[in-house]
Amino acid sequence: MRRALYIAICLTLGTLGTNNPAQEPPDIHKLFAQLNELGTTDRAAIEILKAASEDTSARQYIVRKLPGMINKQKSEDEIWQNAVRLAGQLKASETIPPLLKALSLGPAGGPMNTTFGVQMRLDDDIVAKALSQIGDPAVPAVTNLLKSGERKARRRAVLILLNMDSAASRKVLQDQVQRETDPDLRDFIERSLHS
Amino acid sequence: MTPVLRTAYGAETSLSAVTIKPQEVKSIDIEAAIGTIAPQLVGTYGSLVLRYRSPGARSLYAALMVRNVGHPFAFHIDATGESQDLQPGSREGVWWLPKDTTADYLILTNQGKITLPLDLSLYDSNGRESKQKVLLGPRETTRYSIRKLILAAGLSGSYGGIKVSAASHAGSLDTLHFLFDESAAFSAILKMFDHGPNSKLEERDFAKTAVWTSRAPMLALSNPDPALAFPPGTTLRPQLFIRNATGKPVDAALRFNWRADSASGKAAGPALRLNPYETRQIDVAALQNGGVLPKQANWTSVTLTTNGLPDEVMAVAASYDDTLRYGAQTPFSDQLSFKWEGGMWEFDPYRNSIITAGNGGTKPMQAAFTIFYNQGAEKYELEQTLQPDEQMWIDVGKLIREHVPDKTGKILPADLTSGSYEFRDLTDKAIGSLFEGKVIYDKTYGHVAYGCAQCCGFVNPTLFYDPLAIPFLGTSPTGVTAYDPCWDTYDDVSGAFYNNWSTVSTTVATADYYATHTGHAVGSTTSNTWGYLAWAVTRACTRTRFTPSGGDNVTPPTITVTLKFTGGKSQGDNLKFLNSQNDCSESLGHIDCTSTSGYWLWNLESNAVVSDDASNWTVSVANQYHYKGYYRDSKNNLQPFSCSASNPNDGPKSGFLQQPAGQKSIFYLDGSGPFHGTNPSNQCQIGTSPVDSITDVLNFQVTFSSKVTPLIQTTYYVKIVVSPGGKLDTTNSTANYGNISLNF
Repeated sequence: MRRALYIAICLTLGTLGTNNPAQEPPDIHKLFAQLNELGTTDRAAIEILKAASEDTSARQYIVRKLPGMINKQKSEDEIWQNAVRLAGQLKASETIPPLLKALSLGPAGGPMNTTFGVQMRLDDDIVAKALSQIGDPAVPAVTNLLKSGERKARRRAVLILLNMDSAASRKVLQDQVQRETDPDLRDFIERSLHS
Repeated sequence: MTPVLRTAYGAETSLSAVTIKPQEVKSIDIEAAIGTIAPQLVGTYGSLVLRYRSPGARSLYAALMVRNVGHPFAFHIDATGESQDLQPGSREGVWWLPKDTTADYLILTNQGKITLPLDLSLYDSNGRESKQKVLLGPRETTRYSIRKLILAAGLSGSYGGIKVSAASHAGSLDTLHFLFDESAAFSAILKMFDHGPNSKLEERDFAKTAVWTSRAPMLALSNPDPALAFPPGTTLRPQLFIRNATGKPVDAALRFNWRADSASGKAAGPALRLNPYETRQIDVAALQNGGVLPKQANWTSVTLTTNGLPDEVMAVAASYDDTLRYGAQTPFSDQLSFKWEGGMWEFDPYRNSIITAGNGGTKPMQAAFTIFYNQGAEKYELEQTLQPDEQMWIDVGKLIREHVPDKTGKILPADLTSGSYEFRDLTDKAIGSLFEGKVIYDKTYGHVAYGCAQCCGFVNPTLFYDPLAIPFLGTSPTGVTAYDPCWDTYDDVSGAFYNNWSTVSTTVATADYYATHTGHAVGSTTSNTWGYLAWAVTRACTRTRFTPSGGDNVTPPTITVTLKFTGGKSQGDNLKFLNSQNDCSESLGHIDCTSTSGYWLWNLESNAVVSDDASNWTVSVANQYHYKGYYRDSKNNLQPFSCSASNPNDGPKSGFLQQPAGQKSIFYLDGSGPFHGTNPSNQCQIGTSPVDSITDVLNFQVTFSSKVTPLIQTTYYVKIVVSPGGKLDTTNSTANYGNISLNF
């Protein structure tokens, strides 16, 4: 079954690759295939991150593939989790829509043990963390989350913006201090901004 | 206190000792004591010594009153201590023989153990001198008649100058000059002054006016105060004798602050140029007749200023009628003080006391006057704001007779006849601007005797802390305390040293205007400051510059860490557990949040109290954990799971960390524990397979550090036990200081 899936993906890649096959490094296809295999996905994710940082076309190739993978929304699946992590690490703004969609799965991919430090760093919420790593391109989308009527959703957006730690994200948070209706959350934002 | 009589040759006879309570006034009848203990001394003369034991050298004030009931004379003689230094100096006075029948004595006493070779000089009013040598043996007293000496010297006139000088040990010499006229029923003291060639204006310029100033507070004017009970129609002749005690010309000026029954005012007096050793008589009565002072005025204070050094010019005031039968005196003094301790006041059918204090400074001040009575056990207090040169005027008899309430509403007992008193400057407690005066008048014989109070000063100013411990990047206040020998207390005199602080090494510590020290580097340095205080020397008070100093030790900041595992959060902790999306309670201890967030947690609070500032510190937490247990798979079978990991950088982050600048307390919160579901494909991750049971141990290491303090580490652990069925075991779930084994 896994073998069949691999062949199908290779065929798809071959079709996509006809647009600019000469610029793609020869091994990125292989790495992408390994990313989609349970036994090799973790190692492939590391290799892809390295290759993408050295080769623009490799990065371009991967970030085009990631939205499709993330859209599968399998929160306990290692392959899906690696795709989400790569989206953040590669700052792939193309993955913002599927990542926003994946937020509905709830915190995923984190350690079973929590501490407040783990939460604050979003280590227990890999989708939110990926959005924070993408940074400013994700600010408008995350800002929309602050309009949610659910305190939990707003709080999650606050954490994403705090972890971005950019001028744009801080400005959004400062504005939110004025708008936030929950006094505890407002206090939390203020306290975090003034650190 | 033991009174001791000394004969003219220094032989001593002790009288009975007395104990004097705080603020008590005690009278000792010397005449009666001589008659009982030393009748052989009747008809002789000598000096009186008071030997006492007291924590403070200036705790005792004493005056000798020479008077006799039925005889119209009274002499008031202040007791003075010996100054045992080697200074040269002289005693300066004025002689005055108003009538041919006036007799006098000049008394010379050697208070010390060394023979004093003295020069006794007499001058006529123009400064012509007649000098003789006098040898005064240890503890010896001798007396001279100035009248006889004047005649022998061929000097003329009715007044002139006296100088008794010593080449060394001048502080052992005391002198007294008094007049009496039995036919005129007249007696008077002509106050003599110490003159030291090394006196500095800075030390005696209490009001910082850059001119030496001396005052006589209570000169009775031509029209006497009815309170003095002189016969109707009595007219006094107030006059001043002003003398240049040096061999160079000096300039002097006079001014007056007069008061009448319902008015008061100021007047400028004449400016004088005094030739060497000249004595000038100033007829104040003529100034009244000439309109300089109003005729209806009863009293005036006289202020004498000169362009020279202290005591180069001296003055004596006297105010008698033409018969010399009725009159009063007031002594000049340059002394201003923050506190005056007075002697005895008297009020009875025959006598009354009028006491005054004035503001000799250049700024308004609040003055406090206290009467002590009932052996010093009770007090009566008045306060008044005094403008520069203004005086408060206290008729003690009137306070008693008219039941005048004090500031607390208290009145003096109607049968009160004597007590002591005190003045305090409430505005400047380091040097002060108060001058004072007192007269006790005899209603029967019309005689008025003045009395003096004792100025108070400080000795031995020292820093509050030596060495001063200053936390690194923190602050420590300090100040100056000094001993008050009048009250036997140490007073805070820090205000006199403001704006004068410095440190030897500003890289180690600095000091601000108020002596608040800031530590900049761990190490040691020295703090210095300077300021002026009233200094209580043996015979007077001086405005003296003091330079206390002390060590500074800048110490590394300290920290005390306390962990709270159960109960409620501490006061001052404004953090909230509910700002964590996984938490569900603001209480400390184990919490089952599985129904809201899916977690079993242990909420705890860490509180560190630092010696400097909370914001100077950084806090970091690391942890290691191990958990194992069973989850249910998709077929509801129990499957084991286990995971160990570590997190070297686990915060705390600002949302759960409180360490604002300006505070000394650091707080952080943490809620740690496992999720209620695991990921079967990765047992170290949260997932959807429900946990049936779990034992989860987390070991924490918390590190506090500042720029100079070695790392301070505290450890603790959290152990969450969930029983089969997913039920939190509240008995076996624990948290405490230390770390526990992760091998289970």
